[in-house]
This record gives sequence, structure tokens and C-alpha cells, in this order.
Amino acid sequence: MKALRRWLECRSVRGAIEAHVDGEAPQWGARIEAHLERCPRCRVLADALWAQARALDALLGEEDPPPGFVGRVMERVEAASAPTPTRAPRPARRPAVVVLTAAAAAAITAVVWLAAVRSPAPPGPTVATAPTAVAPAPGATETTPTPAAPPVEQANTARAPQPKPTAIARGAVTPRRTVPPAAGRTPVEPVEAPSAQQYLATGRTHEEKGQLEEALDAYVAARDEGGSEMARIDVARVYEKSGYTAQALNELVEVAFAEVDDQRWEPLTVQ
Amino acid sequence: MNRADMDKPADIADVEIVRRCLAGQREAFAKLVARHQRAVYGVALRMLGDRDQADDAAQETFVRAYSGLTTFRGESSMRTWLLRIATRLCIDLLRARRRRPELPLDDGDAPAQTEWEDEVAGRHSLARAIAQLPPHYKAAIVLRHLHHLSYADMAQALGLPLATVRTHLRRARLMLRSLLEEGTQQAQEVSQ
Repeated sequence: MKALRRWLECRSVRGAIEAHVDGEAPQWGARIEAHLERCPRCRVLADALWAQARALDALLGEEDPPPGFVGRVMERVEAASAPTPTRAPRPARRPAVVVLTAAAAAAITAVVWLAAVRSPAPPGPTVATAPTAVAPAPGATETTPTPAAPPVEQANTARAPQPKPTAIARGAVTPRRTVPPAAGRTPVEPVEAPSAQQYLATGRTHEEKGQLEEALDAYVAARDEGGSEMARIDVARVYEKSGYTAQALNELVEVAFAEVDDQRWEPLTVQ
Repeated sequence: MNRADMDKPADIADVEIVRRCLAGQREAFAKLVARHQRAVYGVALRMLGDRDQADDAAQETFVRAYSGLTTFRGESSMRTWLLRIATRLCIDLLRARRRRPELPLDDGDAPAQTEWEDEVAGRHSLARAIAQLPPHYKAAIVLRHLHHLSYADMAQALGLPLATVRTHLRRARLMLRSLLEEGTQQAQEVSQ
């Protein structure tokens, strides 16, 4: 159970480590530091964030603008504030142009209408073609073209409700479902993969426990993200690497979250 | 200016300058430009990666600020308000450009001294990686590491929820790390 408890503690702290490095989580500072003292994995993460922040701070310094900057700004401010209008008034169209434009638009409308009458659209859900082919009415202002609406079936598919990501609540019962495999990639399920009970009964080496933590991270991330493509690829990679099956990880997660009730290892919240 | 200063509302000098500008003393605005030109130009330069474009964008930021002075209520600092204008302007420019900035964010054209070659090379790699970030991620990195804004001030400057800003910053850093690793790998392949 030590590995599971360590994983739970990591999970509760890890989301706040970056904020801690940024000085934005003072309320959790002591707890995070205490965890970093005993967790090499999180220490590596924190050190990397520190190093990156220092490098960025060193790179991004303020700079003086080119000489004469203030003067150029004030020239533009003066120009923008000058009493003369910034936009020249639009010249009125001559009557002849208006008449010709209206006639041309009417002719186009008539041609489109006649074409539509002579060759009616075939039956079926061709929703997308109807409104976009109509010529603008005479005098209509030019507007930004809007993309045609997708066919009904496509729209329904595109807007199908996605499963809402489910954050793991304290003590929540993990549903008995496995992460769907990534398209075109079937995760390798080792024949003799250790089950959760085997793991708990026999214990594992320290190195293998490290792999277990990584596998649990990937598994829970995949589940929390609603089965995103990246998460599925990641978890499939971990399955292959660690040899744990989705079923075994599912059982272990259940065991781990049963501990949450006792240990109060909720993820730390930042603001 | 340290991070604690960023949380303060507009300081008295800025408020007084705004009051005088609104009273018709246009020349007072020059003082405001002088006070904040480094911050605004810095954001523009780091986001756009080009000194000429940064110069123009920084000027445009102040022009927009002048025309919108009546909307400045002093609830945030003048600096944060200007950075918000500059950041949004640069994001729009980057989107319009629709291509990656070509220039690295270097320190100038001076040749690197031998003992500093590694460091300079590292800085150039980092600068190139930053240039490849999407506009909002780049804005998060610049506001955080150039101006040391707090999460709350970044949210205010970017007009985004605080949680979104945290996410942008985290993803920007992850992407930077990934880009730097790719660059290192490519360099090793070339040397072999």
C-alpha cells in the first residue's frame, strides 16, 4: 500500500507544485515542501520548473524602445486627435450608377431564380445549398460571408454531446470500464500481467512501483480527460511499458481512492 | 517593479497624468509614455519577435490608450492596463500574420564570447521556442516572466479567467520544454 499512498499524495500535491514555484500557493508551501523532501519524482518536476522559470526570467528582460519613441507616439496622438476627420466622407453614388447596380443585381436574382425553378433540387437533406446561392438584394450592404451550415447529419455528429470529464471525487466508486484504445493502436495486454490483488499480495520491487505510479497517472488522466486521443495514446504506451492491464489499474485506483476517505488526500486547490 | 506593486491600483502619478490629459493637457500624456515605454515595448518585442513591428505596435498601444483614457478607472495599475492593450494588439497581429515569427529574440548582433557561447546558444534556442508558441501561450509566458505579473493580474491583463490563465501558462511551459527537447535532438542528429 505504500506505493499507492505515495501516489495519492503525489496526486494531491502535483497540481499545486507549479503554483508553488510561481509563489502563488503560499497556503500550501509547507506541505508541498515536505512532500518534495520525500518524493524524488515531484522534486525532479519542481526543479525543472524552477530551472525553466529562471531561464525565462533571464531571457525576458525589459528593453528600451528605439530612440525618439515618445516623440513618435506623441506625433501619432496629435494626428489621431486632429480636428480633421480621420476618414474621408464617402462620396455619394451618382444616380446612374445606383440604377445600373440595381438593374444588374435584379438580373442576377432573376437568373438564379429561373435556374432554380427549371431544375429543382433533388429530394433529400441538401440543407446546406439553399440560402447561400441567392444573390444579394439591390442596395444590400456587403457583409462578411458566413460559412454554409453543415448538413443536418454532419452537424448532429459534430455537436454530439461529449462525455463530460469526470473529476474523481473523494471516495468515488470507479466505474468498471476500461479506457478505449486509441484509433489504430490496440494496447498490448500481456497475458500474464499482474492483477491488483497479485500486486497487493506479493508486493513489488521499488522500480516496478515507480512504473505502477506512472501507469496509474496515465490511467486516471485518460479517464479524467474523457478519453482524449493524447491520453489514450499515453495510457496505451504505459500499458505496453509497465505490463499492467486496464483492469488491474482500475482495481488499484479503486483501492487507492478508498484510502482517500481516511487520508484526506484531496488535490490541493490554488485560488 | 516587483510583483507586489502590480497588485496595487493605479499610482497617484499615473492618475494625475490621466486627469490632466482628460482636462485637455495633451502634453501630459508624454510623461505617461515615458514611464511605461519599456514595459510596453518589451511585451511587443517578445511577442512579435521583430524590433520594427514591436516599435509600431508599442506606438499603437499608446495611441489606443490615449483615445481610451476615459475608460481607465484606476482599478488596476496603469501598467497592467497598458499591458492588456499591448498584449491583445500583439495577439491580433500574430493571428493576422498567420506565420511564425522568423527572428529570434536575441540580444543584438554582437558575436558571442567563447566563455558565453553555450549560454548564448541556449538563450537563442529558448527564444526560438518562445517564438513558436501560440499567441495566448506566448502572452502568458511574456507577462509572467518579463513583467512578473501574478496569476490574478495576468487574468486581468488578458481578459481571461484565472484558471484559464494557469492552464495557458502550464501548457506554454510544457510546449517550451518539448520544443527545446526537439531542438536538442535535431542538433545532435546534425552533429552526427
